[in-house]
Amino acid sequence: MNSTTSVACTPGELMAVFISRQIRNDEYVAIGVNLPVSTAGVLLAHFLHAPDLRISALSYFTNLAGVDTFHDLGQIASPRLARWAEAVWPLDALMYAVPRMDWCFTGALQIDMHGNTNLIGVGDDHDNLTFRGPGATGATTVMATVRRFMIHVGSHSPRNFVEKCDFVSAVGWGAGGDHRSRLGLPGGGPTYVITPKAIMDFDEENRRMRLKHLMPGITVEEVARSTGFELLVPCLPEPMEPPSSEELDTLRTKIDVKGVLRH
Amino acid sequence: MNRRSTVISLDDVGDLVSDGDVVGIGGFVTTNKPCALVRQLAMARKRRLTVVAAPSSIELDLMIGLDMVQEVITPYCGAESLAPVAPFYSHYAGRRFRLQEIDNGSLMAMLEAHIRRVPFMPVHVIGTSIVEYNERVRVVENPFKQGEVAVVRPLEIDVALIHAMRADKYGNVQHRGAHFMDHLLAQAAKKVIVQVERVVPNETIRSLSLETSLPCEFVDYVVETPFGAHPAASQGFYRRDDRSIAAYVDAARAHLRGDEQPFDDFVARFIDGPGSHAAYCQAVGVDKVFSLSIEGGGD
Repeated sequence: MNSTTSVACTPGELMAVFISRQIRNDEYVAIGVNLPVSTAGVLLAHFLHAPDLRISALSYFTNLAGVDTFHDLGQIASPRLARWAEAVWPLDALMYAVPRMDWCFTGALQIDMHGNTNLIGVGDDHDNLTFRGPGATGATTVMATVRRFMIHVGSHSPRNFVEKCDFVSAVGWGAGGDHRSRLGLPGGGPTYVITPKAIMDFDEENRRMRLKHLMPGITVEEVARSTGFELLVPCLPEPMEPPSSEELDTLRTKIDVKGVLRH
Repeated sequence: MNRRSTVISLDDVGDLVSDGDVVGIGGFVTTNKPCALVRQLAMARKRRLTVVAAPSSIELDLMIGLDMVQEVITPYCGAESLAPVAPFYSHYAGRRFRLQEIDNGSLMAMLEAHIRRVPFMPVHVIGTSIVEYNERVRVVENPFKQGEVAVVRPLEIDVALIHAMRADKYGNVQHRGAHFMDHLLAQAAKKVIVQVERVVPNETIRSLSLETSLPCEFVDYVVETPFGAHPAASQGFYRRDDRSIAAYVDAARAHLRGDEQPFDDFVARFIDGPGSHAAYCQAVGVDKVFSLSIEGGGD
């Protein structure tokens, strides 16, 4: 990375910067509805180091390298994306393209230790939920088939990092180990879980969630306390390298002009 | 002999949908939603509908709020940052209507199964709650290799409601931009009603035939409703009306808290009151509607 400065920034911005650093040039990625953090991360990578990125922005195949500013991270599903489209595909064709994609992203109401996620709702009676989520969206089939995916959420507490999801809308590593492939799911599974407190990945053997990076100012104890299951903790998790001023400038002046990540 | 016109008036739409029908709704979240058609069905207070919707928003939520819906099959109902989850959908799921859990890929597979007239289609929902909470999903033995596979039943639509840019009077429809899953809903439906920004001469369609997204074979009725997707966006024409959507969401949330007045006012003003699509636009404010052009008017 370029020179790092200690510019104050929000958790949403940190998460977007981490996502952007995982994306290589020449990859193929999709951005999703109501996912401002990963959309910002994809655009940041695109503007700074991945000019050849192919982006499926919902139905619109785009390359946004020449774009001045993104319209509004608070509304991804906007026809304003069409102005940048190099091709427009219907949703079924887009679904056929997912196995070729290097990265997709999903949010979650709940996440378990194997990266299984829930967008359906919280509660024990499906007909009388405590909280009803937006629905499975495209996540089920997409996370089953995409090469790799990241999960990102706006909070990290025992309320959303749970022993067992009340419902599962997208399978991560299933029950762990090789369960995902035994279920017959062809995609490569979840790689990272990104929260305002930490970045997690998964143990290569048992596929349990493992602390990878701490966000600035956060301790191992705080992350462990915030996680409703036993998180694997390596001897010395590294703090996340802070955003550079170039990353933050680009994020704020070209991508998140409305400050969705700064609220 | 003259070729038959498919153009009807919005007033005719109510008679084309019966209580208990399976109604398909096209578009995507808050883009290209057939809101003028939905308002017409809402005014008629159709009942016991099963709604099959591409990722949906307040058009479906309104139908739920007016108690028109007995079953919903949709992968999403919300308005992103304005309302991550739509209010009535969220509150009444399982209580006032049956919700069949589904994702985009599997919903399209159900429609495709009917279109192709095959008994089922395999999907990737194994390991998820969709298997348990969707009556049209089963897990069966994989006939080709060891293990199991989830399959979905075909889904036929009685009436599909779609929004597009233009059509000729014979029902040749052209979208501007994406057509999302509109083509699947149309092909899986017994009856298809398309609301368009403009009805244009057949010569216009023929001069741009590469742009025809739904040939007349798949379209039964065309209704001309300029700005008819409002408060949703229409590709190439106008943006989502954030303030109208926020006002709806506030009224619905107040209703759920026990203050029924704002939602009753909303229904009186925008559903039951206007009596025509032009009067609806006037109720919203024509200057406000005009200010929504894609590039104009800031945000």
